[in-house]
Amino acid sequence: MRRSTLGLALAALIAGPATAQNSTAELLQQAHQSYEQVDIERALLLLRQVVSPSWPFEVTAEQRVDAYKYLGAALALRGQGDSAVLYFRAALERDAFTDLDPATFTPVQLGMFAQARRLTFAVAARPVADRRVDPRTERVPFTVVATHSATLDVRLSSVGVLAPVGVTLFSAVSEGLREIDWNGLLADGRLAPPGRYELLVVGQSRLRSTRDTARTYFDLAYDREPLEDTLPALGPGQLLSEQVTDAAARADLLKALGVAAAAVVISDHLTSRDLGRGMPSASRALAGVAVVTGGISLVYRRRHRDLPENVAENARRRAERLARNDAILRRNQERIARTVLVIAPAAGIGSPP
Amino acid sequence: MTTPAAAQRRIEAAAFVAAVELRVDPGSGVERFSGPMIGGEATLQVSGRWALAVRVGDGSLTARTPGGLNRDVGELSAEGRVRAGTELSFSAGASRRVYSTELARQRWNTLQLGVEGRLPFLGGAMQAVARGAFLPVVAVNGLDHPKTAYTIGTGIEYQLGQGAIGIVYSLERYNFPAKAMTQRLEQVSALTVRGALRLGRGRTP
Repeated sequence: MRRSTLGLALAALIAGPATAQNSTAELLQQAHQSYEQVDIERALLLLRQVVSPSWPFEVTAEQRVDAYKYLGAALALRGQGDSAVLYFRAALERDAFTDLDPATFTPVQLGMFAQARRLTFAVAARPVADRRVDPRTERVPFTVVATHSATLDVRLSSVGVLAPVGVTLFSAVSEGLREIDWNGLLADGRLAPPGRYELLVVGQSRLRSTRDTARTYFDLAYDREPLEDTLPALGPGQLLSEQVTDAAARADLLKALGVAAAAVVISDHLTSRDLGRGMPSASRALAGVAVVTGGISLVYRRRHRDLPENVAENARRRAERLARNDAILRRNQERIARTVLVIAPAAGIGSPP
Repeated sequence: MTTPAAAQRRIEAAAFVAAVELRVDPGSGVERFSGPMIGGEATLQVSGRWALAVRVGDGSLTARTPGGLNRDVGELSAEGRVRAGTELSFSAGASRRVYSTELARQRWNTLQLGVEGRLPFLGGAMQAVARGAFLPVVAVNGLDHPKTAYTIGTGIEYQLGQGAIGIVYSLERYNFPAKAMTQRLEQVSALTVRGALRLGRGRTP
Protein backbone atom coordinates (compact mmCIF):
# COMPACT_ATOMS: atom_id res chain seq x y z
CA MET A 1 0.00 0.00 0.00
CA ARG A 2 2.79 2.33 0.88
CA ARG A 3 4.60 1.36 -2.30
CA SER A 4 1.51 2.07 -4.36
CA THR A 5 1.02 5.47 -2.78
CA LEU A 6 4.64 6.24 -3.36
CA GLY A 7 4.28 5.24 -7.00
CA LEU A 8 1.30 7.45 -7.46
CA ALA A 9 3.15 10.37 -5.94
CA LEU A 10 6.11 9.67 -8.15
CA ALA A 11 3.90 9.44 -11.22
CA ALA A 12 2.32 12.75 -10.39
CA LEU A 13 5.76 14.28 -9.89
CA ILE A 14 7.03 12.96 -13.20
CA ALA A 15 3.94 13.86 -15.14
CA GLY A 16 4.13 17.54 -14.32
CA PRO A 17 1.52 20.00 -13.12
CA ALA A 18 -1.44 18.33 -11.47
CA THR A 19 -4.05 20.11 -13.49
CA ALA A 20 -2.84 18.60 -16.73
CA GLN A 21 -1.90 15.19 -15.47
CA ASN A 22 -4.74 14.03 -13.35
CA SER A 23 -6.39 12.15 -16.11
CA THR A 24 -5.86 8.68 -17.46
CA ALA A 25 -5.52 9.91 -21.01
CA GLU A 26 -2.72 12.25 -20.10
CA LEU A 27 -0.92 9.53 -18.23
CA LEU A 28 -1.30 7.09 -21.11
CA GLN A 29 0.04 9.68 -23.49
CA GLN A 30 3.02 10.18 -21.23
CA ALA A 31 3.51 6.44 -21.11
CA HIS A 32 3.39 6.17 -24.92
CA GLN A 33 5.99 8.90 -25.23
CA SER A 34 8.24 7.19 -22.71
CA TYR A 35 7.82 3.88 -24.53
CA GLU A 36 8.68 5.44 -27.88
CA GLN A 37 11.71 7.06 -26.33
CA VAL A 38 12.66 3.58 -25.05
CA ASP A 39 12.34 4.85 -21.50
CA ILE A 40 10.86 1.51 -20.56
CA GLU A 41 11.08 1.88 -16.84
CA ARG A 42 9.20 5.13 -16.84
CA ALA A 43 6.64 3.75 -19.26
CA LEU A 44 6.10 0.70 -17.05
CA LEU A 45 5.71 2.90 -14.03
CA LEU A 46 3.06 5.02 -15.69
CA LEU A 47 1.20 2.08 -17.21
CA ARG A 48 1.06 0.20 -13.93
CA GLN A 49 -0.53 3.23 -12.36
CA VAL A 50 -3.25 3.17 -14.94
CA VAL A 51 -4.13 -0.47 -14.29
CA SER A 52 -3.68 -0.20 -10.56
CA PRO A 53 -6.83 -0.51 -8.44
CA SER A 54 -5.56 2.52 -6.55
CA TRP A 55 -5.67 4.78 -9.58
CA PRO A 56 -8.24 7.36 -8.60
CA PHE A 57 -9.43 8.35 -12.04
CA GLU A 58 -11.80 6.70 -14.39
CA VAL A 59 -10.25 4.24 -16.84
CA THR A 60 -12.21 3.33 -19.90
CA ALA A 61 -12.16 -0.16 -21.34
CA GLU A 62 -10.16 1.04 -24.31
CA GLN A 63 -7.62 2.78 -22.05
CA ARG A 64 -7.27 -0.31 -19.93
CA VAL A 65 -6.72 -2.48 -22.97
CA ASP A 66 -4.18 0.01 -24.30
CA ALA A 67 -2.37 0.00 -20.96
CA TYR A 68 -2.25 -3.81 -20.88
CA LYS A 69 -1.00 -3.93 -24.43
CA TYR A 70 1.84 -1.50 -23.79
CA LEU A 71 2.64 -3.18 -20.51
CA GLY A 72 3.03 -6.42 -22.41
CA ALA A 73 5.12 -4.75 -25.06
CA ALA A 74 7.34 -3.02 -22.49
CA LEU A 75 7.83 -6.22 -20.48
CA ALA A 76 8.65 -8.10 -23.67
CA LEU A 77 11.42 -5.59 -24.33
CA ARG A 78 12.69 -6.19 -20.82
CA GLY A 79 12.80 -9.91 -21.49
CA GLN A 80 10.02 -10.75 -19.10
CA GLY A 81 8.24 -13.00 -21.52
CA ASP A 82 5.78 -14.67 -19.16
CA SER A 83 4.63 -11.35 -17.73
CA ALA A 84 4.39 -9.88 -21.21
CA VAL A 85 2.17 -12.75 -22.33
CA LEU A 86 -0.01 -12.33 -19.27
CA TYR A 87 -0.61 -8.65 -20.03
CA PHE A 88 -1.19 -9.37 -23.70
CA ARG A 89 -3.77 -11.96 -22.66
CA ALA A 90 -5.38 -9.47 -20.35
CA ALA A 91 -5.69 -7.08 -23.28
CA LEU A 92 -7.09 -9.79 -25.56
CA GLU A 93 -9.59 -10.99 -23.01
CA ARG A 94 -10.98 -7.48 -22.77
CA ASP A 95 -10.84 -6.76 -26.47
CA ALA A 96 -10.34 -9.54 -28.93
CA PHE A 97 -9.63 -6.93 -31.61
CA THR A 98 -6.38 -6.00 -29.84
CA ASP A 99 -3.47 -6.31 -32.22
CA LEU A 100 0.13 -5.27 -32.58
CA ASP A 101 1.28 -3.40 -35.66
CA PRO A 102 4.21 -5.36 -37.16
CA ALA A 103 5.69 -2.08 -38.38
CA THR A 104 5.81 -0.67 -34.85
CA PHE A 105 6.53 -3.65 -32.61
CA THR A 106 9.50 -6.00 -32.66
CA PRO A 107 9.38 -9.65 -33.75
CA VAL A 108 9.89 -10.71 -30.16
CA GLN A 109 6.87 -8.67 -29.08
CA LEU A 110 4.87 -10.04 -31.97
CA GLY A 111 5.88 -13.57 -31.05
CA MET A 112 4.81 -13.12 -27.46
CA PHE A 113 1.57 -11.54 -28.59
CA ALA A 114 0.98 -14.53 -30.87
CA GLN A 115 1.58 -16.82 -27.91
CA ALA A 116 -0.94 -14.84 -25.90
CA ARG A 117 -3.44 -15.27 -28.70
CA ARG A 118 -2.96 -19.00 -28.74
CA LEU A 119 -3.50 -19.15 -24.99
CA THR A 120 -6.52 -16.89 -25.00
CA PHE A 121 -9.75 -17.53 -26.78
CA ALA A 122 -12.17 -14.72 -27.40
CA VAL A 123 -14.44 -13.64 -30.19
CA ALA A 124 -15.81 -10.17 -30.81
CA ALA A 125 -17.93 -8.23 -33.25
CA ARG A 126 -17.24 -4.62 -33.98
CA PRO A 127 -20.23 -2.33 -33.31
CA VAL A 128 -22.08 -1.46 -36.50
CA ALA A 129 -21.55 2.08 -37.68
CA ASP A 130 -24.24 4.42 -38.99
CA ARG A 131 -24.58 4.00 -42.72
CA ARG A 132 -26.95 3.94 -45.68
CA VAL A 133 -26.73 0.96 -47.96
CA ASP A 134 -28.28 0.41 -51.35
CA PRO A 135 -28.62 -3.39 -51.35
CA ARG A 136 -28.54 -3.46 -55.16
CA THR A 137 -24.95 -2.27 -55.27
CA GLU A 138 -23.65 -2.16 -51.72
CA ARG A 139 -23.25 -4.43 -48.73
CA VAL A 140 -23.47 -4.02 -44.99
CA PRO A 141 -20.00 -4.84 -43.60
CA PHE A 142 -19.57 -6.62 -40.28
CA THR A 143 -16.19 -7.14 -38.69
CA VAL A 144 -15.66 -10.08 -36.38
CA VAL A 145 -12.56 -11.52 -34.85
CA ALA A 146 -11.35 -14.70 -33.18
CA THR A 147 -8.09 -14.60 -31.29
CA HIS A 148 -6.99 -17.90 -32.78
CA SER A 149 -8.21 -20.61 -35.11
CA ALA A 150 -11.83 -21.39 -34.36
CA THR A 151 -15.04 -22.61 -35.85
CA LEU A 152 -16.99 -19.42 -36.21
CA ASP A 153 -20.75 -19.04 -36.64
CA VAL A 154 -21.99 -15.59 -37.39
CA ARG A 155 -25.77 -15.27 -37.41
CA LEU A 156 -28.06 -12.30 -37.81
CA SER A 157 -31.40 -12.51 -36.01
CA SER A 158 -34.31 -10.21 -35.41
CA VAL A 159 -34.97 -9.23 -31.82
CA GLY A 160 -37.61 -7.25 -29.99
CA VAL A 161 -41.03 -6.93 -31.54
CA LEU A 162 -40.09 -8.36 -34.92
CA ALA A 163 -41.18 -11.84 -35.84
CA PRO A 164 -38.17 -14.11 -35.52
CA VAL A 165 -36.20 -14.11 -38.73
CA GLY A 166 -32.56 -14.77 -39.26
CA VAL A 167 -29.81 -15.60 -41.62
CA THR A 168 -26.44 -17.25 -41.16
CA LEU A 169 -23.73 -15.01 -42.52
CA PHE A 170 -20.70 -17.16 -41.86
CA SER A 171 -20.04 -20.67 -40.65
CA ALA A 172 -16.50 -21.91 -41.11
CA VAL A 173 -13.06 -22.01 -39.59
CA SER A 174 -11.58 -18.58 -39.12
CA GLU A 175 -8.70 -16.92 -37.36
CA GLY A 176 -8.09 -13.28 -36.63
CA LEU A 177 -10.01 -10.48 -38.23
CA ARG A 178 -12.77 -11.27 -40.75
CA GLU A 179 -14.92 -8.94 -42.79
CA ILE A 180 -18.37 -10.33 -43.53
CA ASP A 181 -20.61 -8.59 -46.02
CA TRP A 182 -24.38 -8.80 -45.80
CA ASN A 183 -26.57 -8.02 -48.78
CA GLY A 184 -29.57 -7.08 -46.66
CA LEU A 185 -31.50 -10.22 -47.60
CA LEU A 186 -32.84 -13.04 -45.52
CA ALA A 187 -32.48 -16.69 -46.42
CA ASP A 188 -35.67 -16.56 -48.51
CA GLY A 189 -34.23 -13.81 -50.67
CA ARG A 190 -36.41 -11.05 -49.25
CA LEU A 191 -35.16 -7.83 -47.80
CA ALA A 192 -34.83 -8.05 -44.04
CA PRO A 193 -37.78 -6.26 -42.46
CA PRO A 194 -37.14 -3.05 -40.55
CA GLY A 195 -36.44 -3.49 -36.86
CA ARG A 196 -33.75 -4.34 -34.38
CA TYR A 197 -31.22 -7.05 -35.13
CA GLU A 198 -28.60 -8.94 -33.21
CA LEU A 199 -25.35 -10.07 -34.75
CA LEU A 200 -24.32 -13.12 -32.77
CA VAL A 201 -20.80 -14.50 -33.06
CA VAL A 202 -20.25 -17.95 -31.61
CA GLY A 203 -16.73 -19.30 -31.65
CA GLN A 204 -15.42 -22.74 -30.74
CA SER A 205 -11.67 -22.79 -30.29
CA ARG A 206 -9.81 -25.37 -32.35
CA LEU A 207 -6.83 -25.25 -30.00
CA ARG A 208 -8.61 -25.39 -26.68
CA SER A 209 -11.93 -26.65 -25.48
CA THR A 210 -13.17 -23.15 -25.09
CA ARG A 211 -16.19 -21.44 -26.48
CA ASP A 212 -17.01 -17.75 -26.61
CA THR A 213 -19.81 -15.59 -27.88
CA ALA A 214 -20.16 -11.93 -28.74
CA ARG A 215 -23.14 -9.81 -29.72
CA THR A 216 -23.73 -6.49 -31.26
CA TYR A 217 -27.03 -4.82 -32.05
CA PHE A 218 -28.24 -2.47 -34.70
CA ASP A 219 -31.45 -0.98 -36.01
CA LEU A 220 -32.44 -1.43 -39.61
CA ALA A 221 -34.85 0.96 -41.29
CA TYR A 222 -36.03 1.49 -44.84
CA ASP A 223 -35.77 4.66 -46.81
CA ARG A 224 -38.17 4.30 -49.71
CA GLU A 225 -41.44 5.54 -51.14
CA PRO A 226 -44.46 4.19 -49.24
CA LEU A 227 -45.93 1.01 -50.67
CA GLU A 228 -49.47 0.95 -52.03
CA ASP A 229 -52.10 -1.36 -50.62
CA THR A 230 -53.49 -3.90 -53.02
CA LEU A 231 -57.22 -3.94 -53.65
CA PRO A 232 -59.19 -6.19 -51.31
CA ALA A 233 -61.00 -9.24 -52.62
CA LEU A 234 -64.31 -8.44 -54.27
CA GLY A 235 -67.07 -8.71 -51.72
CA PRO A 236 -70.61 -9.98 -52.24
CA GLY A 237 -71.80 -6.43 -52.89
CA GLN A 238 -69.29 -5.97 -55.69
CA LEU A 239 -70.18 -9.08 -57.64
CA LEU A 240 -73.36 -9.76 -59.54
CA SER A 241 -75.44 -12.77 -58.78
CA GLU A 242 -74.47 -15.50 -61.22
CA GLN A 243 -77.69 -17.43 -60.75
CA VAL A 244 -81.27 -16.35 -60.56
CA THR A 245 -82.69 -16.77 -57.11
CA ASP A 246 -86.29 -17.67 -56.38
CA ALA A 247 -86.67 -14.24 -54.83
CA ALA A 248 -85.47 -12.56 -58.04
CA ALA A 249 -87.84 -14.69 -60.12
CA ARG A 250 -90.72 -13.75 -57.84
CA ALA A 251 -89.70 -10.10 -57.98
CA ASP A 252 -89.94 -10.23 -61.77
CA LEU A 253 -93.45 -11.65 -61.50
CA LEU A 254 -94.38 -8.92 -59.04
CA LYS A 255 -93.11 -6.24 -61.41
CA ALA A 256 -95.27 -7.61 -64.20
CA LEU A 257 -98.26 -7.88 -61.87
CA GLY A 258 -97.56 -4.31 -60.82
CA VAL A 259 -97.86 -3.15 -64.41
CA ALA A 260 -101.12 -5.07 -64.77
CA ALA A 261 -102.53 -3.61 -61.59
CA ALA A 262 -101.42 -0.10 -62.50
CA ALA A 263 -103.13 -0.31 -65.90
CA VAL A 264 -106.40 -1.35 -64.28
CA VAL A 265 -106.13 1.31 -61.59
CA ILE A 266 -105.47 4.01 -64.18
CA SER A 267 -108.41 3.07 -66.37
CA ASP A 268 -110.83 2.42 -63.55
CA HIS A 269 -109.89 4.89 -60.83
CA LEU A 270 -107.89 7.72 -62.30
CA THR A 271 -110.34 8.46 -65.04
CA SER A 272 -113.09 11.01 -64.57
CA ARG A 273 -116.23 9.68 -62.92
CA ASP A 274 -118.25 11.96 -65.14
CA LEU A 275 -116.57 10.77 -68.31
CA GLY A 276 -116.41 7.13 -67.36
CA ARG A 277 -113.64 4.60 -67.57
CA GLY A 278 -111.14 5.07 -70.34
CA MET A 279 -110.82 2.08 -72.61
CA PRO A 280 -111.09 -0.53 -69.87
CA SER A 281 -110.70 -3.27 -72.42
CA ALA A 282 -107.34 -1.77 -73.44
CA SER A 283 -106.12 -1.59 -69.88
CA ARG A 284 -107.17 -5.18 -69.36
CA ALA A 285 -105.45 -6.22 -72.52
CA LEU A 286 -102.24 -4.70 -71.24
CA ALA A 287 -102.86 -6.30 -67.84
CA GLY A 288 -103.25 -9.65 -69.53
CA VAL A 289 -100.06 -9.19 -71.48
CA ALA A 290 -98.27 -8.23 -68.30
CA VAL A 291 -99.59 -11.22 -66.34
CA VAL A 292 -98.67 -13.62 -69.13
CA THR A 293 -95.26 -12.01 -69.43
CA GLY A 294 -94.72 -12.26 -65.68
CA GLY A 295 -95.74 -15.91 -65.67
CA ILE A 296 -93.47 -16.75 -68.57
CA SER A 297 -90.68 -14.85 -66.88
CA LEU A 298 -91.16 -16.77 -63.63
CA VAL A 299 -91.14 -20.14 -65.36
CA TYR A 300 -88.22 -19.20 -67.59
CA ARG A 301 -86.15 -17.86 -64.74
CA ARG A 302 -86.70 -20.98 -62.68
CA ARG A 303 -85.68 -23.19 -65.57
CA HIS A 304 -82.76 -21.09 -66.71
CA ARG A 305 -81.02 -19.96 -63.57
CA ASP A 306 -77.62 -19.24 -65.04
CA LEU A 307 -76.89 -15.62 -65.80
CA PRO A 308 -74.06 -15.76 -68.35
CA GLU A 309 -73.93 -11.97 -68.65
CA ASN A 310 -73.36 -11.68 -64.93
CA VAL A 311 -70.79 -14.47 -64.99
CA ALA A 312 -68.95 -12.62 -67.77
CA GLU A 313 -69.24 -9.31 -65.92
CA ASN A 314 -67.93 -10.85 -62.71
CA ALA A 315 -65.04 -12.37 -64.61
CA ARG A 316 -64.33 -8.95 -66.09
CA ARG A 317 -64.38 -7.33 -62.66
CA ARG A 318 -62.11 -10.01 -61.22
CA ALA A 319 -59.72 -9.65 -64.13
CA GLU A 320 -59.74 -5.87 -63.72
CA ARG A 321 -58.98 -6.19 -60.01
CA LEU A 322 -56.23 -8.69 -60.75
CA ALA A 323 -54.70 -6.39 -63.35
CA ARG A 324 -54.82 -3.42 -60.98
CA ASN A 325 -53.27 -5.49 -58.19
CA ASP A 326 -50.59 -6.70 -60.57
CA ALA A 327 -49.82 -3.10 -61.43
CA ILE A 328 -49.70 -2.16 -57.74
CA LEU A 329 -47.44 -5.12 -56.99
CA ARG A 330 -45.21 -4.14 -59.90
CA ARG A 331 -44.94 -0.57 -58.65
CA ASN A 332 -44.29 -1.84 -55.12
CA GLN A 333 -41.58 -4.17 -56.40
CA GLU A 334 -39.94 -1.25 -58.14
CA ARG A 335 -40.07 0.74 -54.91
CA ILE A 336 -38.74 -2.20 -52.92
CA ALA A 337 -35.94 -2.57 -55.41
CA ARG A 338 -35.01 1.05 -54.79
CA THR A 339 -35.08 0.61 -50.99
CA VAL A 340 -32.11 2.01 -49.14
CA LEU A 341 -31.26 0.32 -45.86
CA VAL A 342 -30.53 2.71 -43.03
CA ILE A 343 -28.33 1.11 -40.38
CA ALA A 344 -27.84 2.57 -36.92
CA PRO A 345 -26.09 1.03 -33.91
CA ALA A 346 -28.33 -0.01 -31.02
CA ALA A 347 -27.75 -0.66 -27.34
CA GLY A 348 -29.41 -4.04 -26.95
CA ILE A 349 -32.59 -5.96 -27.52
CA GLY A 350 -34.69 -2.95 -26.71
CA SER A 351 -36.59 -1.31 -23.93
CA PRO A 352 -38.65 -3.56 -21.61
CA PRO A 353 -42.30 -4.02 -22.53
CA MET B 1 -62.18 8.03 -86.78
CA THR B 2 -65.06 8.17 -84.31
CA THR B 3 -64.58 10.45 -81.34
CA PRO B 4 -65.93 9.37 -77.95
CA ALA B 5 -68.54 12.14 -78.07
CA ALA B 6 -69.65 11.09 -81.51
CA ALA B 7 -69.79 7.50 -80.37
CA GLN B 8 -72.27 8.49 -77.69
CA ARG B 9 -74.59 10.19 -80.17
CA ARG B 10 -77.04 7.56 -81.26
CA ILE B 11 -80.37 7.70 -82.94
CA GLU B 12 -83.39 5.61 -82.22
CA ALA B 13 -86.18 5.48 -84.75
CA ALA B 14 -89.58 4.28 -83.64
CA ALA B 15 -93.02 3.78 -85.11
CA PHE B 16 -96.20 3.37 -83.17
CA VAL B 17 -99.79 2.46 -83.66
CA ALA B 18 -102.36 3.27 -81.06
CA ALA B 19 -105.99 2.70 -80.28
CA VAL B 20 -107.24 6.02 -78.98
CA GLU B 21 -110.40 6.99 -77.22
CA LEU B 22 -111.36 10.60 -76.62
CA ARG B 23 -114.12 11.46 -74.19
CA VAL B 24 -115.38 15.00 -73.95
CA ASP B 25 -118.05 16.49 -71.77
CA PRO B 26 -118.56 20.11 -72.81
CA GLY B 27 -121.26 20.38 -70.16
CA SER B 28 -124.02 18.92 -72.22
CA GLY B 29 -123.19 15.24 -71.93
CA VAL B 30 -120.37 12.87 -72.74
CA GLU B 31 -119.24 12.58 -76.31
CA ARG B 32 -117.04 9.66 -77.18
CA PHE B 33 -114.63 9.27 -80.10
CA SER B 34 -112.25 6.49 -80.87
CA GLY B 35 -110.03 5.32 -83.63
CA PRO B 36 -106.50 4.47 -84.65
CA MET B 37 -103.51 6.67 -84.61
CA ILE B 38 -100.12 6.06 -86.14
CA GLY B 39 -96.89 7.93 -85.94
CA GLY B 40 -93.19 7.95 -85.57
CA GLU B 41 -90.58 9.10 -83.20
CA ALA B 42 -86.89 9.90 -83.49
CA THR B 43 -84.66 10.10 -80.45
CA LEU B 44 -81.16 11.49 -80.53
CA GLN B 45 -79.00 10.35 -77.66
CA VAL B 46 -76.86 13.44 -77.16
CA SER B 47 -74.71 11.99 -74.41
CA GLY B 48 -74.82 9.20 -71.89
CA ARG B 49 -77.57 11.03 -69.99
CA TRP B 50 -79.20 13.49 -72.32
CA ALA B 51 -81.55 12.79 -75.19
CA LEU B 52 -83.81 14.78 -77.49
CA ALA B 53 -86.94 13.30 -79.01
CA VAL B 54 -89.37 14.41 -81.70
CA ARG B 55 -92.69 12.67 -82.22
CA VAL B 56 -95.37 13.00 -84.85
CA GLY B 57 -98.69 11.27 -84.97
CA ASP B 58 -101.82 11.26 -87.02
CA GLY B 59 -105.17 9.60 -86.51
CA SER B 60 -108.80 9.55 -87.23
CA LEU B 61 -111.36 9.43 -84.46
CA THR B 62 -114.86 8.30 -85.15
CA ALA B 63 -117.76 9.65 -83.13
CA ARG B 64 -119.28 6.90 -81.01
CA THR B 65 -122.12 8.94 -79.65
CA PRO B 66 -125.08 10.30 -81.60
CA GLY B 67 -124.64 13.81 -82.93
CA GLY B 68 -120.89 13.77 -82.72
CA LEU B 69 -118.63 14.80 -85.57
CA ASN B 70 -115.77 12.61 -86.66
CA ARG B 71 -112.47 14.30 -86.19
CA ASP B 72 -108.92 13.90 -87.32
CA VAL B 73 -106.11 14.35 -84.92
CA GLY B 74 -102.54 15.36 -85.64
CA GLU B 75 -99.79 15.83 -83.15
CA LEU B 76 -96.23 17.09 -83.09
CA SER B 77 -94.15 17.12 -79.94
CA ALA B 78 -90.57 17.55 -78.86
CA GLU B 79 -88.97 16.88 -75.53
CA GLY B 80 -85.64 16.66 -73.79
CA ARG B 81 -84.87 13.82 -71.42
CA VAL B 82 -82.22 13.35 -68.80
CA ARG B 83 -81.45 10.11 -67.08
CA ALA B 84 -81.04 10.11 -63.33
CA GLY B 85 -79.57 6.72 -62.64
CA THR B 86 -80.33 3.62 -64.58
CA GLU B 87 -84.02 3.40 -63.80
CA LEU B 88 -85.28 6.96 -63.71
CA SER B 89 -85.44 9.83 -66.18
CA PHE B 90 -86.98 13.25 -66.28
CA SER B 91 -88.31 15.09 -69.29
CA ALA B 92 -89.54 18.48 -70.37
CA GLY B 93 -91.26 19.14 -73.66
CA ALA B 94 -93.83 20.90 -75.74
CA SER B 95 -96.49 19.56 -78.03
CA ARG B 96 -99.06 20.78 -80.46
CA ARG B 97 -102.16 18.73 -81.13
CA VAL B 98 -104.86 19.64 -83.61
CA TYR B 99 -108.39 18.19 -83.75
CA SER B 100 -110.08 18.86 -87.08
CA THR B 101 -113.73 18.42 -87.92
CA GLU B 102 -115.71 19.48 -90.93
CA LEU B 103 -116.69 22.60 -89.06
CA ALA B 104 -113.76 23.65 -86.97
CA ARG B 105 -110.21 23.11 -85.93
CA GLN B 106 -109.10 23.03 -82.32
CA ARG B 107 -105.44 23.57 -81.47
CA TRP B 108 -103.88 22.34 -78.23
CA ASN B 109 -100.50 23.69 -77.28
CA THR B 110 -99.03 22.17 -74.12
CA LEU B 111 -95.88 22.19 -72.08
CA GLN B 112 -95.16 19.17 -69.95
CA LEU B 113 -92.81 18.09 -67.20
CA GLY B 114 -92.53 14.36 -66.86
CA VAL B 115 -90.88 11.50 -65.05
CA GLU B 116 -90.41 7.94 -66.20
CA GLY B 117 -89.33 4.89 -64.25
CA ARG B 118 -88.15 1.64 -65.73
CA LEU B 119 -87.75 -1.57 -63.75
CA PRO B 120 -85.81 -4.25 -65.58
CA PHE B 121 -86.74 -7.85 -65.27
CA LEU B 122 -85.92 -11.14 -66.90
CA GLY B 123 -82.28 -10.11 -66.73
CA GLY B 124 -82.96 -6.82 -68.47
CA ALA B 125 -84.67 -8.38 -71.46
CA MET B 126 -87.87 -6.69 -70.38
CA GLN B 127 -88.69 -3.51 -68.60
CA ALA B 128 -91.73 -2.46 -66.64
CA VAL B 129 -92.44 1.14 -67.55
CA ALA B 130 -94.34 3.74 -65.56
CA ARG B 131 -94.56 7.36 -66.57
CA GLY B 132 -96.40 10.47 -65.66
CA ALA B 133 -96.35 14.11 -66.62
CA PHE B 134 -97.72 17.32 -65.27
CA LEU B 135 -98.94 19.77 -67.91
CA PRO B 136 -98.49 23.24 -66.45
CA VAL B 137 -99.41 24.99 -69.67
CA VAL B 138 -102.31 23.91 -71.82
CA ALA B 139 -103.52 26.48 -74.30
CA VAL B 140 -106.63 25.55 -76.30
CA ASN B 141 -108.21 28.00 -78.66
CA GLY B 142 -111.63 29.00 -77.46
CA LEU B 143 -111.15 27.50 -74.00
CA ASP B 144 -109.71 28.61 -70.69
CA HIS B 145 -106.67 26.94 -69.27
CA PRO B 146 -107.64 23.66 -67.57
CA LYS B 147 -107.46 23.48 -63.79
CA THR B 148 -106.09 20.00 -63.91
CA ALA B 149 -104.00 18.51 -66.67
CA TYR B 150 -101.83 15.46 -66.44
CA THR B 151 -100.97 12.28 -68.21
CA ILE B 152 -100.11 8.92 -66.76
CA GLY B 153 -99.27 5.55 -68.23
CA THR B 154 -97.79 2.13 -67.68
CA GLY B 155 -96.58 -0.69 -69.84
CA ILE B 156 -93.98 -3.26 -70.71
CA GLU B 157 -91.12 -3.04 -73.14
CA TYR B 158 -89.28 -5.98 -74.64
CA GLN B 159 -85.67 -5.60 -75.72
CA LEU B 160 -84.80 -7.48 -78.88
CA GLY B 161 -81.19 -6.90 -79.80
CA GLN B 162 -80.99 -3.44 -81.32
CA GLY B 163 -84.74 -3.15 -81.27
CA ALA B 164 -87.49 -2.90 -78.75
CA ILE B 165 -91.21 -3.45 -78.72
CA GLY B 166 -93.38 -1.86 -76.11
CA ILE B 167 -97.03 -1.75 -75.18
CA VAL B 168 -98.27 1.11 -73.03
CA TYR B 169 -101.65 2.07 -71.68
CA SER B 170 -101.94 5.82 -71.06
CA LEU B 171 -104.46 8.34 -69.88
CA GLU B 172 -104.66 12.11 -70.32
CA ARG B 173 -107.02 14.16 -68.23
CA TYR B 174 -108.05 17.79 -68.58
CA ASN B 175 -110.49 19.44 -66.19
CA PHE B 176 -111.42 22.91 -67.36
CA PRO B 177 -112.78 25.50 -64.96
CA ALA B 178 -116.52 25.62 -64.51
CA LYS B 179 -118.25 28.27 -66.48
CA ALA B 180 -121.94 29.16 -66.25
CA MET B 181 -122.63 26.16 -64.05
CA THR B 182 -121.02 23.82 -66.52
CA GLN B 183 -117.58 22.27 -66.55
CA ARG B 184 -115.75 20.95 -69.57
CA LEU B 185 -113.92 17.67 -69.07
CA GLU B 186 -111.74 15.84 -71.54
CA GLN B 187 -110.00 12.51 -71.32
CA VAL B 188 -107.82 10.66 -73.82
CA SER B 189 -107.09 6.97 -73.30
CA ALA B 190 -104.72 5.08 -75.54
CA LEU B 191 -103.21 1.67 -75.91
CA THR B 192 -100.02 2.14 -77.88
CA VAL B 193 -97.81 -0.48 -79.44
CA ARG B 194 -94.43 0.94 -80.30
CA GLY B 195 -91.50 -0.60 -82.13
CA ALA B 196 -88.08 0.99 -82.00
CA LEU B 197 -84.76 0.37 -83.67
CA ARG B 198 -81.48 1.75 -82.46
CA LEU B 199 -79.15 3.00 -85.13
CA GLY B 200 -75.77 2.71 -83.47
CA ARG B 201 -74.55 1.09 -80.32
CA GLY B 202 -75.90 1.67 -76.88
CA ARG B 203 -78.96 1.38 -74.76
CA THR B 204 -82.35 2.77 -75.35
CA PRO B 205 -82.37 6.24 -73.80
